[in-house]
Amino acid sequence: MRDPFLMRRADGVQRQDFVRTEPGARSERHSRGILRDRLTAIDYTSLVDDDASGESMSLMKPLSQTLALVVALATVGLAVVFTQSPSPAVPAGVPNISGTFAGRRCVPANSDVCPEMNAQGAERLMTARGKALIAAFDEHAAPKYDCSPAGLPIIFGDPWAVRIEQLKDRVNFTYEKDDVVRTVWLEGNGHQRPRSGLLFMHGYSTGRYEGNQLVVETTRFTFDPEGFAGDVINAPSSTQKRLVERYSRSGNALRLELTAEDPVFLLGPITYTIDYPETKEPLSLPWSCDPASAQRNLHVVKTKYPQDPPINRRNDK
Amino acid sequence: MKAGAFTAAILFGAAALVVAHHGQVGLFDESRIVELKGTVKQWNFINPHPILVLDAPDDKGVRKDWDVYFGPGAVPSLRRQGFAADTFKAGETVVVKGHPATTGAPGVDVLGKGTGVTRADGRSVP
Repeated sequence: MRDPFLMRRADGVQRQDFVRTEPGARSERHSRGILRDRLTAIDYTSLVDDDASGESMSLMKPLSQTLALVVALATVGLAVVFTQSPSPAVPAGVPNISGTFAGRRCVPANSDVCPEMNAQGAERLMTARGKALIAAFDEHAAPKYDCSPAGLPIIFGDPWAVRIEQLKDRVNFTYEKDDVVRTVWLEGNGHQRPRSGLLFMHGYSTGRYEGNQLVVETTRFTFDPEGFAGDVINAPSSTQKRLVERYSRSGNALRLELTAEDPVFLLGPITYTIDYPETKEPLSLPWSCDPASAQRNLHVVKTKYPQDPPINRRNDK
Repeated sequence: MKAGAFTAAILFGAAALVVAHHGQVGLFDESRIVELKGTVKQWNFINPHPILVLDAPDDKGVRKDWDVYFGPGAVPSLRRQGFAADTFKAGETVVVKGHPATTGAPGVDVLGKGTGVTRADGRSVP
């Protein structure tokens, strides 16, 4: 059986149990394994030198694999023991955007796109096909009622915390909401792009530093019926969605300047800025969305299609 | 109207000041606040949205299970407000003031001025 710690995909997402450490919090073993990055302890020690692995699973030769496994397990043990240890140091020569940030403030204050596109924004910004989809879409069909996580850019506007860790060859974003972990693969480190046709709910992200900013470009999104707005608005996004995020420090806050484009559903690019105040509180993890609880919200939502048979949802436990 | 029954349609113009989260848009009538007095059936302190299930009569005296929402609140934010998994016990009596569901379904949203939950002795929760 493959060692799950050695499995990697180009998007950095893995569906394996793992042990995570949270600065200032006890370590937790996650059993759900939803949208989690692989073990960060391995990132710290750079045990595996196969960054050009793409989406394929990379297996080391037996001896080196065994050694790597031993060292990995030892590292995990240390990580569990030293749960109070701080995040790894920010690599030298790059702007420091690491930390934990809670809440969000739109700059300027709320508009029709920030923190999330509202009905007026959708009317003003969406293409005719986008508006047609909005009109047809039934809230009861929204994937979130099956605990599908919030996509991008919606998760940027949610009021929950995010932790950023800058590593030598990547930047990890851990969102409190929905247990989402994104890996931004820094350019110039030999990371191979996923093969053509591979799409991801949170896209494929690459990054680079420009002056005092981390610039993240994300493409390769799956179609998302709530890609630009969820919760009754339901503004979709397409596989052509492209996001450019520019992160910098603004006092004690993290500033995100976002540009989003989608020629299928947006008439033109949209831009907005959000500040996230820094916090010393650890993330409250795991989120562990409960499908039955999510679906209970539908008690107060009317379906657009009452003539259809009722939806008997399957909830995997 | 029986004691403890549904108190209908108290109009609060100030309720319009409540800034709705995107997740609540259109689901609850923010111009109205209703009062429910009932017994706790379940307290589901889980994500994405903790829900208090209350056994309480409607305006016709018919007992129903009411879903009490706390705006867009999730476990982390409600915990910071002082809620916990043991905040409510099954069988205890509480009074809830919240915005009624626009669909007429038995659901209310506790969010903003004039809304809240109190225990039988009048203490507010949390």
